[in-house]
Amino acid sequence: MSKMFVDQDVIRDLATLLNETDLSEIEVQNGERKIRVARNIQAAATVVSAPAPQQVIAAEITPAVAAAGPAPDKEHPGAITSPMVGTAYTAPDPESNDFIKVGDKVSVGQTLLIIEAMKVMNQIPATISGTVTKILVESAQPIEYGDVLVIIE
Amino acid sequence: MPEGYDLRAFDILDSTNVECRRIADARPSGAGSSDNVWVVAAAQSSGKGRRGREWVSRPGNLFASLLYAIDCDLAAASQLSFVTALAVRDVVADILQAPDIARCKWPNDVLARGKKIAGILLETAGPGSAAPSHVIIGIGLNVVHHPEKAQYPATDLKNEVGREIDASLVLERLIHTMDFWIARWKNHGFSIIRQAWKDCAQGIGQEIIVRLPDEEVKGRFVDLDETGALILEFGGKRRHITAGDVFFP
Repeated sequence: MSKMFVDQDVIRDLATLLNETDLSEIEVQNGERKIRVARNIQAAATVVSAPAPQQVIAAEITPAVAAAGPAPDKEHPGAITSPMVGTAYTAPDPESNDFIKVGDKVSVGQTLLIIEAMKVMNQIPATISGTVTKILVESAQPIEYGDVLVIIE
Repeated sequence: MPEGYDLRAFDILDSTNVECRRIADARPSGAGSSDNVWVVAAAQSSGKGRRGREWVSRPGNLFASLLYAIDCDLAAASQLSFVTALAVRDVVADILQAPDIARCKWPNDVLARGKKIAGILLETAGPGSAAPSHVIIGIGLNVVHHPEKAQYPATDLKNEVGREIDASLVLERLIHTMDFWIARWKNHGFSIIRQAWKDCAQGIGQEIIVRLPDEEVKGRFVDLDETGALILEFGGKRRHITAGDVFFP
């Protein structure tokens, strides 16, 4: 096989996409060229039965990037995630105390936060009982669907 | 009353929204909790607007909340904000006999000749976070009074038409227009509601100011997105706003 041209820009783009989408691998094919970018793998295991030239690159996700990403909190079994896009509030109104603080014991159904969208106020309840170990939003912060709001252990 | 609705009237309540939450909390989950309840009070001792702002609740104005049983997710529940605004706008337009001067201000305020005549605040209720069992739709409509000092210039129906208006007659119209718009939403989806809201909205295509919790942004009100968020264009960028107070410069 002759020496292949490695399009580093494409690989960088795919690695960024991989990180953003939290996927473990992405494979793209253009004609006979196929590129697969994967992460969190020790060896670049791949199938080479296809005649198409194939590049397999294990994208190095640096520990700093991984730590900054939402994945560890998202995967936590006590993670309470946002069921909607909106604006989060930690208290019922600006003059009141926050619904919860780190260290509080909460029970199922207890209100943790309010998320507002289009002037609809949604009380976000605890879905498990336990102790609040992390609050990942500040009051009046815009949030996206699936963002981790609170960790309960 | 339209079929499937109940009405509970009080001389005074702390808040009609709070009463609806009490009713919802007392209901057993599951079957038998599907009736919708209108709660109305002649006065409120602690009426609230957005973010805990006081809603002055003197007798003569309309203070009503609808406890509405739903079977949808939170994003769809947000659409009821616009459904309600359209119903209240229709009531105001009908009483004023002037459809063009009754407008909607994002997301659900109703204006008469550019002044706020009604405020609407919705809350979801139910045990689950992703799929509420009820929406509480709180409506305050200025019938014979309006606050002189308010965040937004206000007016009332009496002031606009020059004669006394009975809040109970306003409620009667509201119950029927809400039933009409909710049926349209359920049968045809949000696209019809979104278009109807845009047709009577104040400020689309114009420069507006949006007061957010920690900043104020000025830009062009481009459109409503498919979820009902306000698309604001400023500095060459577009931002989708889900919470804030709109002002017209």
